[in-house]
Amino acid sequence: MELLELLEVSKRYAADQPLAVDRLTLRVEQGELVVLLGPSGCGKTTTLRLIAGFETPDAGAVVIRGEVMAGPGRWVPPEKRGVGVVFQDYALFPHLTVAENVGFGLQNLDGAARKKRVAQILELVGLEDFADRYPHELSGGQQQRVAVARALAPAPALILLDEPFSNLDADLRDQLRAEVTNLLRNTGTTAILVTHDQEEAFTLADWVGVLNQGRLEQLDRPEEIYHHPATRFVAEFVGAADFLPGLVTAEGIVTELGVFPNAEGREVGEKVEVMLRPDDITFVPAPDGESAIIRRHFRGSENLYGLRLPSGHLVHSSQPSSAFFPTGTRVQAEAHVIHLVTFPSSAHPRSPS
Amino acid sequence: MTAMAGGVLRHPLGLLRPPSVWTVAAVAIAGLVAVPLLAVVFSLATPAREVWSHLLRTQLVELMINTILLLTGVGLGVLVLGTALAWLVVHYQFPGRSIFEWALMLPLAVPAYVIGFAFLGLLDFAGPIQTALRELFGLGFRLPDLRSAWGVTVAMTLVFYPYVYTLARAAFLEQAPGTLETARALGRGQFGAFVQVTLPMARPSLVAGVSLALMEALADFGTVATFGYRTLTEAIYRVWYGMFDRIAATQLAAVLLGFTFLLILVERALRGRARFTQVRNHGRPFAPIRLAGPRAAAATGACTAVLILAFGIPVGQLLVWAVHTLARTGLPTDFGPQLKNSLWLAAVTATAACVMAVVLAYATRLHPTRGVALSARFAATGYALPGAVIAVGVLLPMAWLDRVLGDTLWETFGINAGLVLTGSAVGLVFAYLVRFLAVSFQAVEASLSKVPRNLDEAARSLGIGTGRTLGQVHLPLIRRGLLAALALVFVDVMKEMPATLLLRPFGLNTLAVGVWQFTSESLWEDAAVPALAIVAAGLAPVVFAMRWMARDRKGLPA
Repeated sequence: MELLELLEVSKRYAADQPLAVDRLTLRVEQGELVVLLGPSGCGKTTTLRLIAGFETPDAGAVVIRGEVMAGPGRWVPPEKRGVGVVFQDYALFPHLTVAENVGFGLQNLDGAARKKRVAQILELVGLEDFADRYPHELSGGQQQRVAVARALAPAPALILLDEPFSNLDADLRDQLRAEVTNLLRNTGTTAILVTHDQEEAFTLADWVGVLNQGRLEQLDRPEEIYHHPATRFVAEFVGAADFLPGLVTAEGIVTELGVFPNAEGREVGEKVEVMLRPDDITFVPAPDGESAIIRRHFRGSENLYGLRLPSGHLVHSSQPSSAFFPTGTRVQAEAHVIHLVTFPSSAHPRSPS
Repeated sequence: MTAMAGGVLRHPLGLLRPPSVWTVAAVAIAGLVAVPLLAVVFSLATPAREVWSHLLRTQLVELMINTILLLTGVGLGVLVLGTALAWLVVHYQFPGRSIFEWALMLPLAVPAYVIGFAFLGLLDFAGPIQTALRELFGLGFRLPDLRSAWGVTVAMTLVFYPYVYTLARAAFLEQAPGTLETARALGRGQFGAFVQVTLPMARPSLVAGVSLALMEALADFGTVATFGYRTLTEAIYRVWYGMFDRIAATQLAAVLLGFTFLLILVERALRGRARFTQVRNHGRPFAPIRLAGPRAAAATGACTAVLILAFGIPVGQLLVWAVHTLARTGLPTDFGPQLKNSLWLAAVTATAACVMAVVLAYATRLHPTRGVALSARFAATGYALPGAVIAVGVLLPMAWLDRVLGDTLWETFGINAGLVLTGSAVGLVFAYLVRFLAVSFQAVEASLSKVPRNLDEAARSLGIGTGRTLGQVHLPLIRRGLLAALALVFVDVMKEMPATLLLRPFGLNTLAVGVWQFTSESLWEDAAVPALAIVAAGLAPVVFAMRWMARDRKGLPA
């Protein structure tokens, strides 16, 4: 049985506004960590709030542990759903100590059992010495851990995290990401995490769901999202991508940078757009080359070159950090693509391949 | 599962959730407040033609002109005085500023009618100042008669400027320093920046402050009666007590109500679309400009002068009189019972008002639907209703209920119950609640709005329902706002005169009634004793409430 099911869930905030969540369908198995990824306004936070019960769906159903929480003829309020939430700004109770915060959701336990559980959880997050501090006396990272501990203390089957690491600085972020994911795995808690940071999504997730304007464009393993994006939006949002026009022929897909196998079985004569990532493209300086380097970004670990092809199209090539070529150099560009991804030409109505 | 009707998703869950207990409570409270209002409005449904024409012929025009004159004068006065003081105290640093900041609100502790008779007694023809001046300048010398439009206007300006001062100060503090600095960088001088940037941005607060002051002026009875100035409110009493003409009084109350609604409409229109909520203060607090030399002296002098005029002189005069009276005749015999009654009425009302305010504010927070929001706003408009109107509006249904109750009890049980409601303090407390709920609601609502919403959601996600969240999360966090609300309502009830005079059951007198009984016979010295008691009892809560409001400057949690 899935732990969480969202069945064609839709939500609109006002009659004259577009759908915030558009017929979303999602299934999550127990113990999985699903990351919802997308730009701001894509509906990922709304989805989280619908699961938690802070919003009511206009259509569809939210099912947790096989029980309908929100659906036609049924509504279960948030306090009865057993879903833990970690907020972006932690939402710690300022008038309670760390221990009181963490124990807030344990009102069903008696005093001794509650103290024991609080101590246990605090030890898990490494804050056992901070039990009597107040939230404003803690650092950002410590507050975040208290927020996680508080949500985990009642041992919920499902925990929701809304951009939990975005308020921390970079090095702290990596450390806490690892800690929190370990914690979730060790306790066997199913988790849905929302973020706009793709690196975070790829590092943490078992499954990544990419949202755009309320629609789930693709739900897949991180590698598949990157190498086989289902829609143009996913291709552009996740990783850098350039698109070259191509024509499907009997020999393959013909583009400016060569002919590629028609692995997706497109029809001959179809016009497509071929997705190329910077790591797919290389170049060799050549005085008679027809392409030219028009810009260079030094990124520390790599050099990102912008190349103008004879047709005028712009592509990018990722080169090692020490490979330096000045702008203006004439080059011969080549593409070596392991997984070729194509989309129908933009002029045609879009459909996921 | 998806129901499409004409392309729009219908809401299958919409029918399911029954109204929560909080919504019901909020609407019930609003309904309670509506009772007096509706009673007065319905009384218009049976117009007494002869009464109306009589009123029109004799006094209505004069009353309305006087009322309009008063409103204009007081409105201008409090606007200028309150805004100027607030500007001074927020933007400049001068000796004594930190004390003046809260001390300038002190006149709130003194009822308007007290300041009125204190000044009258001081400056009257037979009073000490004129007597001394006559000795200096000869017997023909006399000051212009205080018992006139401008006399009342000046007195009321001195009493009511704190409304504008408090709100203007809060508004100025909320403005990010960046806006003012930007204006200066773009070439505006200090005064120019003030007029073109600060004032327009503070407009909603200024409008609210002036309208509060004007509503108080409209509703006031004690001051205008003492000055012999005939306004609508004053006429209601004269007609009610003097001629026992309930019907005419009700008609006049309706006219007064009309004025009030006009005020509210004008206020709304002037406020524009600006919302009255706070924006979080970003970054560094405001850095006042240090004044030196003569300018610093002028600033300190101005504040001191206002305080002396509005607070020092009246209270000083009261003390002198009280000492005389006590030495002469000792405490008035009624003083003990009056004090007791004032205190317990104030305590009961303050507690009830705070409970109701918490219910209203929490209901608005939980269910921000139009129905609940409207209920909250409606319940808070009781403040705009003059005490006289509320008293009339409370009396009518209560008298009716009394009759019904009495008849039922007599017929069913043979008990002659007498006047259960009108004969008790129930009506009085009811009227107080209708009038002062707005005060507690504003304070509680302001505090509650500072509690971030995600704390509510965090509590819910941890399994805690709405009621327990209120007790465990919200109440502890709004503790200070609650105390301020209690203090403000307490003081307001202690000072209240109009409704008390009309509604009090026989024998139940408060300190305010005591003051009235003496001032209606121009016995200033005797009136000083109960008046001082009112001021003293109100001083501690007012100082507390003022310190709580002053803390806002530091952006501390409520």
